[in-house]
Amino acid sequence: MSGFKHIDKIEAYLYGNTDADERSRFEAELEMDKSLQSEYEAFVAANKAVDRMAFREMLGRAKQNREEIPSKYKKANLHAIAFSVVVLIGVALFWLFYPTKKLQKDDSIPPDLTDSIEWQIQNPADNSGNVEPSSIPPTNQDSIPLPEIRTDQKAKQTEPFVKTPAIADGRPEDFQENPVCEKWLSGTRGGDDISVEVKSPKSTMTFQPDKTGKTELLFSGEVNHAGIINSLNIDILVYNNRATQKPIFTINLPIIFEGSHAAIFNQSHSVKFPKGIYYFRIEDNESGGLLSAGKFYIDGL
Amino acid sequence: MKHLFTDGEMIGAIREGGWAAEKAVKRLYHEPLFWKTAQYLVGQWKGGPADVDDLLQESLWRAYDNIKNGRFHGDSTISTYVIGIMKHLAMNEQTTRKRRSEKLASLPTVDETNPTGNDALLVKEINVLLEQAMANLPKKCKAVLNLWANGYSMEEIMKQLDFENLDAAKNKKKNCMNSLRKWMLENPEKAKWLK
Repeated sequence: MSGFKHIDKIEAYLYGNTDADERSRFEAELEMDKSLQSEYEAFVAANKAVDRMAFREMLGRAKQNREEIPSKYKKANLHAIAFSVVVLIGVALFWLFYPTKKLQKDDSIPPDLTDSIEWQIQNPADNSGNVEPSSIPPTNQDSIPLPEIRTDQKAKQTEPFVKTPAIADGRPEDFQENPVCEKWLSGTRGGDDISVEVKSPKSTMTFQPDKTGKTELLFSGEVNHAGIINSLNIDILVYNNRATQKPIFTINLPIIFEGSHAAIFNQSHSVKFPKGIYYFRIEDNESGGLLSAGKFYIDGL
Repeated sequence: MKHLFTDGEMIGAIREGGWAAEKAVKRLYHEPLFWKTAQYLVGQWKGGPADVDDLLQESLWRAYDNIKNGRFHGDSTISTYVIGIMKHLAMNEQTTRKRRSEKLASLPTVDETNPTGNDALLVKEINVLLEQAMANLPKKCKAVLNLWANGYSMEEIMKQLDFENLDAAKNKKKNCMNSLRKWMLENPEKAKWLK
């Protein structure tokens, strides 16, 4: 069928399914038999080619990061000094004029604004902005503290999903929460100087697959840093509720700050995942530090 | 916040494959020392940025392949090992270039705007051969083989690529490998460069 006469013998040898005697017999035969030799060479070359191809793709992904990032780092050096001076002056002025407002509740906040904040907290169904789900009891979970999530109008306009609790019309086991992944949601974040506010997907959000079974996932949010960097790379790792070791989907995003301390990201990807609960981790690509985590559902239709 | 791989972790991650290997390779690729060394070595023959990238890519591939297949015994650190490979490749490259330039010296003109144009590092030629070998494989074949080479189980491959069942995924992988082996068998001269 394949045109190879010695396929079993070669595979057994290459993949270590032979004992010492068989190995030495094979090696002796390899010396003598030209056709076995050619086939063996072809097998080794094919394996190596596949490995090389996989490595090349892996390196390509790493390369993509490098091409987009280091030149920015280089450019950052001069601007960074000036920028840091401005920031320091700004911070000094802030502390000079508003010495007590940072850590204490400010009595001078107009009552209407305070009311507005409380109103938003008390109305979890409202999706119009500044909702803090960390203070809202989740509708379909028990007592898992959720990461702080904010929305803004711009992100809201592009969110192609419906805010409903997941309805498990897929396999029930695919909707079971994974305790390890659940810990990510409340775990400590990796960086003191970098933070990520996820705007999409919000926890308990449900993405709806289309008729072909494809789901448009949208990841958006804001990355903030307190240091002097012009760019960084983040990885968004998506897991199902079974595999916590290996993500089922990965997105690498270069984040360019362009002199600012904040940058937004907005990435949508069409995937074909079965219905179920999914978790995601946002990590600093370089250090692997956890910056944020969340979960969402794929369900409906 | 930074997590630096120890050599032991790096070796473990590469041998584990999949996502762990991907992280290890990223770390290796972003190591500034390797870039500086590659830039220095390529500067010796006045090569361009593409040559730096090629030299680094080939050095990392060889190191990765040797680590993965147990041919790196830890007699040195990984960084010393990679730099050693890089120096070895650079020396070969310089020798080849010298021979070529001696032959070219008698020619009347040289395109100085593109000094490395026809004189690229061997890795470019290997990449061309790799492209040729893979050219006849359907897209799905490449995807299967890529995942397989990255250490994903056949079950994971089945799920990720929407195969009907495990046997379908296994058969696909087998047929794809056989197509590739057939190409190697029919093109032994090219195949030997890919080993």
